[in-house]
Amino acid sequence: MNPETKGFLQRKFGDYYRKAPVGFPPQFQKREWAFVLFDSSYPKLVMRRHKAFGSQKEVRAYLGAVAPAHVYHSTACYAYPSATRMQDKKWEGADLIFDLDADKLLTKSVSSYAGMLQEVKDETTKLLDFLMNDFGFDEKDFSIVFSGGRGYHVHLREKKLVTLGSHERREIVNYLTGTGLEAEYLLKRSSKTAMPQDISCWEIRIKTWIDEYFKRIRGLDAKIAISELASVKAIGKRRAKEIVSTLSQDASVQPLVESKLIPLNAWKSLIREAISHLKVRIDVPVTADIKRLIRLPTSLHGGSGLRVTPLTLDRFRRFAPLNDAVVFGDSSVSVRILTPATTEIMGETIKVDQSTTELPEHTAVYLMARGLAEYESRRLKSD
Amino acid sequence: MDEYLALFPYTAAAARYVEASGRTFDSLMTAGEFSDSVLNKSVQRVAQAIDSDVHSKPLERDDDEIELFSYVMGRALVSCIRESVLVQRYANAEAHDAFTKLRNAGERLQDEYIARMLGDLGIPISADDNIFQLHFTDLIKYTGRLRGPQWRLVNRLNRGQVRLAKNEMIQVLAEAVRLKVLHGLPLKLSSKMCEELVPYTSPLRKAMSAVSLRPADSGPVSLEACPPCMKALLSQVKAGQNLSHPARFALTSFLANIGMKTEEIVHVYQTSPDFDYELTRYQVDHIKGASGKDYIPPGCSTMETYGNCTETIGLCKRISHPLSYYRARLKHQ
Ligand code: SF4
Repeated sequence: MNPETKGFLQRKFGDYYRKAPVGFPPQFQKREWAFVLFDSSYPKLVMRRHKAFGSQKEVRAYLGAVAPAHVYHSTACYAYPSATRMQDKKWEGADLIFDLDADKLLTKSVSSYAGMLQEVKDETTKLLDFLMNDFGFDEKDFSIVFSGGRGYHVHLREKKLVTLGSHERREIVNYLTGTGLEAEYLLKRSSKTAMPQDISCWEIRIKTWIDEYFKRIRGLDAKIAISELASVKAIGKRRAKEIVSTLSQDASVQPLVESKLIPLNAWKSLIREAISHLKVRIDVPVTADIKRLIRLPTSLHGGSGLRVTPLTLDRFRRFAPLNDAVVFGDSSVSVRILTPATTEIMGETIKVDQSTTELPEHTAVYLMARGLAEYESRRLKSD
Repeated sequence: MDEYLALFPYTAAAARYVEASGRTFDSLMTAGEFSDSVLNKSVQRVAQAIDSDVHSKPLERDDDEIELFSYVMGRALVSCIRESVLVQRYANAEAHDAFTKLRNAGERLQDEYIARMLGDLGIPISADDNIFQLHFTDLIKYTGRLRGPQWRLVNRLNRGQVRLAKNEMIQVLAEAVRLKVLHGLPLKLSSKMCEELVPYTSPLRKAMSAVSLRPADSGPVSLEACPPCMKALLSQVKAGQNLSHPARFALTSFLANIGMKTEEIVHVYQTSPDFDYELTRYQVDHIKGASGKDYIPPGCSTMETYGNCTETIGLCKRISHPLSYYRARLKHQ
């Protein structure tokens, strides 16, 4: 990234910060702030850490004047947030933050940025369902934030959560990832639990998944159904046939559960299958970390120029990042393309290849921030 | 005096009683016969913690006042000895004691004690017909060290709540006691006070070095005594599988901690398909650190998180660290 490009981005970011409202985290005075600047080492990330601010005015002034490429604050509150050694800061509690990022999450490769974001969004939706249903949180207990890059952050600041240590947070993460769920234990347990309240939400999820699995099997053509069932470990072809015929006689799955048709090992592999579909793929160490930094909601992501956007549940559902997180306008900017790319910002699909071209500002910023283009100042020729 | 205070001297109610009694350190040291009994009993309390054999007989019950103040003095003794292992053992012993007393109480008293302790330790609960319902955040503070699937949130959580049976509630209370005692120690006492306590602390110090609180890992390495998780990792390596990073870290630091030499550990990895002598040696050295024991291997709950824990029954149920498993096995070999 050449100095002109950095200068341009910094100017644009500064314009944004001087006008836009800042979303302050609660107790922002007790948090450590950190910044990456558009300086000579950029885009290498040199983090300036251990800053603290006493007033909102100071923060706004700093952002407007410095126009950083990336802005973070600590998830923790400290008695001395600007102390440079962790042990001197005196930890007082930390938000519980879930970080769902395409880089860590995706198993198969998704080619388009939009497709990738969709997959992360689905995973985030799963997480939110767990938080509301199993953990009993209310929409007002969490905030959802588009990270400005390739994912979402979910912040929880409920009083009972902030004092949890990383060990306890790990227990929550284990829940979400289904770690420690054992088919054997579940089977033994479900045969003797009497009260419905004693069934865990995970158990209900698994039961529902298995019900639906058999419902789907029942809807299939008999031949396909048999071969699908036979592929489950420990069922085998002969049993698969019997199961399919039982299924077609009866509208509910219940008799199947009670019958001895499905051997224990097959139940186990079905349960394992269910868990792998239902669990949320989140990063364990990151979520359990009680001293980490997170992007400031409402700041700009230097690697995309997109806004780190706080969302209500409702807005999250309808959220289209390449539209709703765009803060720059469409006045034209001249750039030199380094890598051919296709963008689809503000509903406009733009294909660029190696040449100098004029682009709407939002697309130009996006390409420059991603390192795909350089700023081209327009010169008047004299010859 | 209310018997509850003598039985559960770490509760807030007991603290209030001690406060109101007006007894100070000085008056406790100079109250003649009463002092003798209190100090005598507190030495026994600490001695039993040092011994830390879960099967040892409970101490004989003294007069309520003596019971309560011997706990207070016991804390002073532990604080003057200033060994973090002892603090832990003391907390364990008190927790074990709480557990036994709660479990062995008659039903009426038991219910009363449980209710009072819950209030005292600040654990909010709605109880109904011997079922205790807690918010999950209140539960996971106490279950970190408890082993077994019944303590994992995955198996219990329902709409933010977990419902516990009475015997489970008692286990959680004992854990809460352990943490309360643990976090309250050591007290900041003047060196003058500790000097006055030397006649009582010095035999205890001796007892400590006798049972050697720091288990010597210098003996010969016994692969037989390794916990199931480590055995599983070892056999994966033997079978030529590559270990994930956390697994490799766990195994290496474990082997280093039970006294294996760098060369021997490197040798273990030799069958691994991506074996690279220099790299492995470097990694092992790094994990071992200069002193040989820089990195403590991960505990059972971390092992579980990364899917490397393979057993939750038998001895595994009672320990929370692979090293404790190893030490316990060694003792009984
Ligand atoms: S309980 Fe602990 S020692 Fe036992 S297998 Fe699991 S991790 Fe290993």
